[in-house]
Amino acid sequence: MRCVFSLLTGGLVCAFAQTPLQSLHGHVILSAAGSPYLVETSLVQTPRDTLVIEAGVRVLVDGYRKILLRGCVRIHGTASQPVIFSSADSTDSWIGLHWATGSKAMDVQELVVQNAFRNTVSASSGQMFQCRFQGNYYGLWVDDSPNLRLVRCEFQRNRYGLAVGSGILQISSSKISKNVYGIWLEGQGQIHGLENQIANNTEEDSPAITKPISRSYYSQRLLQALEARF
Amino acid sequence: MRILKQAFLLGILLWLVACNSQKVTLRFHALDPTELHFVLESQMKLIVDNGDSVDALGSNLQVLFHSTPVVNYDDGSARIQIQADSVSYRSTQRSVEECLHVERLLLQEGFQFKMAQDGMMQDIRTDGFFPDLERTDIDFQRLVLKVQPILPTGEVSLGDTWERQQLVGEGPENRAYVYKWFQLEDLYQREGKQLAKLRMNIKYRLDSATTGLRIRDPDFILGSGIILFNVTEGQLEEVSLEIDGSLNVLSPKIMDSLPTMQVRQVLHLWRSRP
Repeated sequence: MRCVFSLLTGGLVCAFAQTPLQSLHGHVILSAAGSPYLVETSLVQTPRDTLVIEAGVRVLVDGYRKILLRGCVRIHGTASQPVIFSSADSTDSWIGLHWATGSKAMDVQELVVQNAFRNTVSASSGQMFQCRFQGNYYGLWVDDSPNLRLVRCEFQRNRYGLAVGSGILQISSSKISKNVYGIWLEGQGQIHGLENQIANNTEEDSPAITKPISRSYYSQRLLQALEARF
Repeated sequence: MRILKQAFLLGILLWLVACNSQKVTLRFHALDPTELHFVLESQMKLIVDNGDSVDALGSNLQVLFHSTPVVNYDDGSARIQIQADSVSYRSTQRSVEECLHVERLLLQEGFQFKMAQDGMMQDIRTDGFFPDLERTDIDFQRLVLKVQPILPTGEVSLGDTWERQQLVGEGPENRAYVYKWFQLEDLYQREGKQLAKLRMNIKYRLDSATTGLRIRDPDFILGSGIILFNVTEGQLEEVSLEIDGSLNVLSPKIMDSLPTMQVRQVLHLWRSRP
């Protein structure tokens, strides 16, 4: 009886064991065997570091934290075993993922990001293939990344599905639906690409792509940006 | 003879005034291990006139924070840790979720700096906090640095003035020098402690090298305020600072040009616990 109890307890401990993820320095590999990983502090990857995430890895973020990626990033989920980033508490949110990888390799496949305030790609080049952004405030905000390609990605249940702050974004065969705003283009942001399904969003869908946003809106963003720096 | 007598009396009078002039050395007691609690409030108004319409931003930020010395150095300076304890933020140009984001972000902000006895802050390090200023987070560090006085190196008397410059924001995208001018306006006792009332005038430019914004004209931001410095304890008691400016901004990311913007910021810092 005691043996059975020990086995059950051991099994439960194994089932809920979490690996703390405290640093992204060096060559970091997150494997399915160590999953789920628990992030309890904001993390920064330097341009000298490499992050590799294998299929089936789940990263849970505890608290209002951010993960800033500035080095080489390879996230290789599969259709049956995606890589998932979400908040540890499903009723809470976290800040989000920020790729600022510059010319470093950025290869992201089958990634799911949930419950973040804002996921950002700025001044980065690479590919996101079959990635899903669900239940975030900003699903993905892209700035100055003309060499970034989004292929067969999905944006659902975000406040802003896909926002392009500046530069050209290449996106194809992607689905943007059930968001409040499907696509949000700012200033000189543009979207290029084919076979995208942009439908069933609460507010402006395709008009946002062709219709210029009001001058008042630009002023609003500028006012916010100045306040941030003042 | 009469003229000589008057000159003599005037000389005596001047000598008596000189004897009566109070001299004081202003120093932060950086090595004091006491944890200090402060409130910093920033009220901001930004107005842009588009010709046919006017857009304005009004915001109020209130941060309760504490400062703790973590390392003492032989030269009398110390490394100080600043940690926010409570944050309230409202803005007319942000959604409820965006305001909540700013509050939660600042609440976890902790940063350290090395402070000399004259109040100069250097070598700022953040722990796990990376404001995304390009996408409109708020820079709390800059606000703290802005209200921080830099004290004179030697003794000063009433009416004496001094000038210093301070770097606020050490990152390449967040760098600005603030020129600060001070005058010792008053010295008095309150509840057994000696307090110094300082006038602080500031002058600075927003950095034109930021990626998203460029200031088209060399306009300076000007500000003036009062600092109440506790000479006995070597700590700040209260700071009030009002800043005004007009900016001509070029924002290639957002649009090519914008009309002149009027900026007004009122900063108020005070000790929340004695």
